[in-house]
Amino acid sequence: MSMKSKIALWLFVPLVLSACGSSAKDDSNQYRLPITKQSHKVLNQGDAAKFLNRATFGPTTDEIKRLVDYQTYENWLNEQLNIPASLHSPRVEKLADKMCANIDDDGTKLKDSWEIIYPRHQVWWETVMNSKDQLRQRLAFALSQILVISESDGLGLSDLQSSITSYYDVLVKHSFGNYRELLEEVTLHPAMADFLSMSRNQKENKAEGIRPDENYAREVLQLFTIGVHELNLDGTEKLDSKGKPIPTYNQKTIEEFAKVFTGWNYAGAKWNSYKGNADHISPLVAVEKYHDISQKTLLKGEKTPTKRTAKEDLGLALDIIFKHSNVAPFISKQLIQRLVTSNPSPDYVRRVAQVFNNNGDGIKGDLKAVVNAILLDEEALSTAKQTENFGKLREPVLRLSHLWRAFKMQPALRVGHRWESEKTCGYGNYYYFNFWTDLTCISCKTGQGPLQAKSVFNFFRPDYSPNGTLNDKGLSAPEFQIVNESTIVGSSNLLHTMITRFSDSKPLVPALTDAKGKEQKSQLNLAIETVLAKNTEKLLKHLDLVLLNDEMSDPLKTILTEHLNKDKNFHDGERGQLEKAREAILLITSSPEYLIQR
Amino acid sequence: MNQPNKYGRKESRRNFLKNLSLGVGASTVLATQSKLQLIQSAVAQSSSYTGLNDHKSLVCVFLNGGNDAFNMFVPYEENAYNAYKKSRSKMALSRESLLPLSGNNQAFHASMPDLQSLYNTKKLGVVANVGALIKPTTRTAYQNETAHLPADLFSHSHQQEFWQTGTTAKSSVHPPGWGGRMMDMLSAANTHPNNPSLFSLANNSVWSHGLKPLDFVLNQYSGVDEIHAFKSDDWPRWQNSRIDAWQKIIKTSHPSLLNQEMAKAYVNADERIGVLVEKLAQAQEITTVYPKENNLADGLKIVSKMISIREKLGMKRQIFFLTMGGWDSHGNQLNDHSVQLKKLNDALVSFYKTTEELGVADSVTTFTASEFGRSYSTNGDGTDHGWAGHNLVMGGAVKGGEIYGDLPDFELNGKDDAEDTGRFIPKYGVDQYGATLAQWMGMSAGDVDEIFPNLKNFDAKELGFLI
Repeated sequence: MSMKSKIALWLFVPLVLSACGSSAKDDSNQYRLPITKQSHKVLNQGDAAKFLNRATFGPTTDEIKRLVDYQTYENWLNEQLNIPASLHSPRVEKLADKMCANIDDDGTKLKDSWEIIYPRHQVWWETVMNSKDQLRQRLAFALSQILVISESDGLGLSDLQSSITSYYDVLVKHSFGNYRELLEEVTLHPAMADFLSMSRNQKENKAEGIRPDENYAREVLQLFTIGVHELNLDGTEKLDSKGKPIPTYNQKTIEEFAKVFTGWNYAGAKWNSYKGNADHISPLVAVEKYHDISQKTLLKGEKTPTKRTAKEDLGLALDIIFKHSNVAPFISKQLIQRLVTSNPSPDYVRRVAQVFNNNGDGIKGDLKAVVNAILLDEEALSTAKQTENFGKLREPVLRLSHLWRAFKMQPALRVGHRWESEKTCGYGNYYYFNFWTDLTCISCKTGQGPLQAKSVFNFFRPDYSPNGTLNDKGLSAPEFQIVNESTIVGSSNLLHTMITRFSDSKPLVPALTDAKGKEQKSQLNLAIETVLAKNTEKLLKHLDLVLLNDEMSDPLKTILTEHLNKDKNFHDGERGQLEKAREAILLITSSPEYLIQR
Repeated sequence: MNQPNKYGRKESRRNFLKNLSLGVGASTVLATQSKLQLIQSAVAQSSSYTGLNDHKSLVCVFLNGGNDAFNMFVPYEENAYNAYKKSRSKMALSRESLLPLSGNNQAFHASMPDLQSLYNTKKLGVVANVGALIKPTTRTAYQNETAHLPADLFSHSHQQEFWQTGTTAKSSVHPPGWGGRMMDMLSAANTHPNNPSLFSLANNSVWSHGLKPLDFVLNQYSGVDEIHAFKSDDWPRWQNSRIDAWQKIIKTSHPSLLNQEMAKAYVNADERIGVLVEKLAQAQEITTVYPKENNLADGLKIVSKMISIREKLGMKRQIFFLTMGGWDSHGNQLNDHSVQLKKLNDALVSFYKTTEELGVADSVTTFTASEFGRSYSTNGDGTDHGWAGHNLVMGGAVKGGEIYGDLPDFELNGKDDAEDTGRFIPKYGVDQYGATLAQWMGMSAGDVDEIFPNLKNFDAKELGFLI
């Protein structure tokens, strides 16, 4: 087989796998929003771009045109809601084989490994770049910042990369499913069970001085479902007669929930066996002798019956949590913050929370209905309904994905094992986003990478506010928690280097080495932009749409035009046009105007 | 700003401050006071610090996740040890493994031999039984629900905020941190009072946020870098025109506060980074050996470089903030905690040796903090969120080789237990701990009272562990 045909085969793999993915239970089949006179019309390309910033990993000119052609957002959503899920695990597994990332030094195949971090990140970026199920993937990324696990050092999961991937697939699979079902699968996933020590949590044993572990009990309430204070439907805090917030639970409640989450172990493992070897993909299994069968008093005094199995108790406890009126505003508001705006009005939160509570068919927690409500809300679609502080800071990961999508990042070709390039594990080659920097260390520079938060509290808290005017006015700006001298410089240098040094006016021809015999690097394809740069106005018009939703301010346009038209600065001909294209992209994507997604 | 905005939030940061220091009733009287006036009054108060001529650096090492201080610093005297062993059951450390401290009544965890030496040579002390408190409280008051307690005890995020500010956010407005508030005033001692003087190696921390923008985030690799594309250079040949365009872009006004915030972040970075890069490049080589694969050590090495250029930067007073994660030992504690403490030991001792190498051991004080201690009772494989804990203070100015504060009665369900699981009620408040450090930095009693909102509720205004 020639090199090229092998490549073509590899490119085809995700599609095949997607088809497999569709057999997974994901509730998305046959779902349709009705198209009526009330459907939301896509008025122009700028609006389409704005919508795609929220619903995908970044607009491209092609997708903007397609959305405009669809005429209504509902048409586009109907397509998205029915695309089979692109699951990550099957592709990570294949790539791990090719990279020998799952082979021990003595040649034995490992169940899981640290080195699978490379295929995991590779597949993650490939997916957000190329997969058709953009909305689902975008929602999965948002959910991964609520139902947080992390591979970061010292948090216990770094050697369990296959497990982490399989956890992420749970989010992908349920992105259009039901939050209650998602919650149960998350609770019983071994990655979460390791991360928040739910596995091997045992009932009280007075003789040995043991009582149940409170870790999962606390965080499932505080972070995954209801939060610490009682909320109104619109997300604002309820206050008592003294004007103080009302706690949703106390330490005793946590101790009671801790009892619920006892008696779970890795599938097929003995209770006390070494857990590193245990199955970290299959859901946990109940071991009744370690389960606490006493009566437990949960939220709002609601009690469980005694002598129930671990699974019955778990189901009932999750039902009780899910019934709490906080879940809808607590989760809805955070999803709005991840997709649309940091400070949604209470009305916006209420409208979405109502849909969370009832999708129209009397079902609570339908995430399809919730995401539709978020994206189609009048506050999201109509600038007339927005305050001047509407919008959110783009997350570092989304800046990068947008850049790569808008300007067609093309992966370079590398062969074989990551460390020892001659070791090919017998066959194959693989695509790799190969730069001077490592994909897995994008977070070292920017403060964010997929499943790389520093703790279960995510990269930033939903209510973070930077020192100064925003905080004084009680406004949140979560993403600013990772903006500082260190990350501003790190992100800027990372993106600038990609734009200026890893881009070309011609598409990349995949090869092992470049014309100079050096290992080939991935690069952006600026063919279109280079042609347009013959005329500054045309270049800026093109970039305005794909980067700024056709809302480039007059001052920015004037500054860029003046700079780019100083012809003595740039070379003549195509070389100079490429220089100008890079220059305009660099300045626009660095500008505050771009960084605040509206 | 005392009008409710459209989201029904009406409390501004300055109201918040006033509420802290004056009580809620006073806020309406002073509601018209502008933030500018508040800063001016802070400047006026701080005028007494312009004369500070010596150098002092304060270094905070925050142990994120809740350090199990009860296994870091353990009873060693036989009876006390036996009681410990009984209560801690599976999480109890063996007596033989412990490193006894002078006096042989208490001991450190086996991972801390260098810190044991520093203790025994009086360069390090233990501040015991400290935690989040608004005022002293008792088991009875806790159980009757009559105690005035910090909100959301036992929650990581809320207790981190309390430890770093003395309170928690109200109506979405976050309080300033006491590290930042100290530098608001103390920066007057520095040659360039408006230059950054509070350096974090741990991203944005509440503790470093004062009212003035004096905080600066360093990276643990090089300390500080520049944005190469916007740095003065003769390459590419359009660089000057690019810089000119960029300066215009970040100085373009915009009605959105989010845009303004981003522009401000760029302008701040632009104005403050250049000089630091230049001076840091002139830092002397540190010969003390630092451990590898130890993020805290990497950070402390950058801190020592920053301290070495204090005169070049005109610093008389500066503060550093570092964090170390991985302390939330619900599971696998015996193994994980041992690794954590080893890293802490290695990082701290290297840093102490560096301060000796630089001749600043007496003017650099390092202290640990953590959002809570852990439950004395165990879950079989670890411990859960507690309340009181112990902390370490290190440096030539520390009256080392001593334990400051009375230890809790370690009995489960005993007189110091909030309930029956060994979440001990702290005897000393974070405010007292912080106030001791602030006084060492040279702050007046009045300013210390202003910074620590709960200090007025405690009899002892400091805990006595510093000269």
